[in-house]
Amino acid sequence: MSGRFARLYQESEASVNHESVYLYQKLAADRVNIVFLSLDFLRNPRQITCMVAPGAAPAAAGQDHDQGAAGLVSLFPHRFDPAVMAVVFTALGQRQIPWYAVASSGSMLTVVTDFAVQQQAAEALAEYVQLPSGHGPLRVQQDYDDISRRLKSAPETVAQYVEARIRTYGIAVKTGLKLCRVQFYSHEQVLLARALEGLAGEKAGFAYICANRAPDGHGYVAVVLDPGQPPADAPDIAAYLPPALCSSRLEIRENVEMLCFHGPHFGDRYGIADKALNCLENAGIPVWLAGCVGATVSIIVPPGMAEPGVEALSTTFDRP
Amino acid sequence: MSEKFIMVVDDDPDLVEAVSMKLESKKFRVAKAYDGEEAMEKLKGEKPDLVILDVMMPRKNGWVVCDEIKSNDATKNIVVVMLTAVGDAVQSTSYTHHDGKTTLADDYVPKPIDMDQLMEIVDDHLGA
Repeated sequence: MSGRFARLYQESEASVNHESVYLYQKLAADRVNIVFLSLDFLRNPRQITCMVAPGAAPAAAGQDHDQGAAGLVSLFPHRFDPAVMAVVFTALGQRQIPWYAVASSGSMLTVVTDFAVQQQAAEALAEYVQLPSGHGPLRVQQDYDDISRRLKSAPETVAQYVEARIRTYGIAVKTGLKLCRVQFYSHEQVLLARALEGLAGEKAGFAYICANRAPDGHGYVAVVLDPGQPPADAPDIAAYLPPALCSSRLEIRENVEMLCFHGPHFGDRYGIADKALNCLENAGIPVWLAGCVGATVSIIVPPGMAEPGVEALSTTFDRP
Repeated sequence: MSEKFIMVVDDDPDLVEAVSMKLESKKFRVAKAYDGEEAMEKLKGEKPDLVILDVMMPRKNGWVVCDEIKSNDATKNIVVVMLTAVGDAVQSTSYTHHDGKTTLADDYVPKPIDMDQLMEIVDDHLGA
């Protein structure tokens, strides 16, 4: 469990608001670190959920985006099993514990919830997973302010901010992915859990998962399956969804691609998401989904766009 | 040769997972910890041959963990390899090398880590 953060949410219409400034751009301009980001630009309205230090939110982004105190709960390792996301829907949905966004990294599935119910959320999730034998009690990590103070006093990470080029562990590309995106309402979470369990039963692995929820409670979950076979032969989520969720509320796109990279202390540094997304925008590469979880950035792009995306990112990010 | 046992300590679960998978593929037994205090707690019950230890972690940083390992008779022979994330500006000084060595770590690897380099260092220390 994380310490206390502020949850920021932005919705915008791409066609109308093309010139508007996105939340991650405002935060980067004000040198505010984003500790979690989930972005869904596949359709209008475009949704962005960010988590930042509590004191940073109003000044950087404007009060209208501030949704209050929130915390993160992370499950790891997810081993790319959709059943882990089913646990989120089941554990939190059945208990009506509010959550607002989810995004995955290479090993974590991170859930944004109200800070007041963070412990409750973690305990609910823990009922559905097997914790390792040496697992300690579920506890909130140090406050961000404390961590921030320590980072500033230690050259270990301060030095990162003056990198001429941002160093990474490499930029990974995944192709031939199948994106399944479903609009849902709170009471339908159990139905989605069953569908994800169905996919897990077929040994389907995911490359990326995210979900974003609007203030009225409806949301979109996007599961990017990594079939390891022609996407057309990948398990079909529609086979496990009730008809109401399969009609206009299910969207499937095949052969989508993913860019994924990871760098030292990315979770402690401002501007990483902004730089990555700007690189792609400047190269004319549409971003459909993106997430920053821990020190990992995941970006879903249309078919054929991952390799040009690597080239675009390489203008700013160093590849070993 | 008996199976060598390595503990990976970092507050970045993605890095812990990537390093652990690589070590397991080389037939090492691996334990994981996600901050310094958790590592020290686990070291009370387990005695790895080598600890891969991040520097900047919440609750207890890597320098302190390294000092505690090396100042305890029960654990002082555990090989400690520190992971450091010093950027360009500081890398020109001897900060990493100096502090890494004087804190009694046996070796260091700069972040972003080169996995092959890390495996070579592990092999060198464990005679694998």
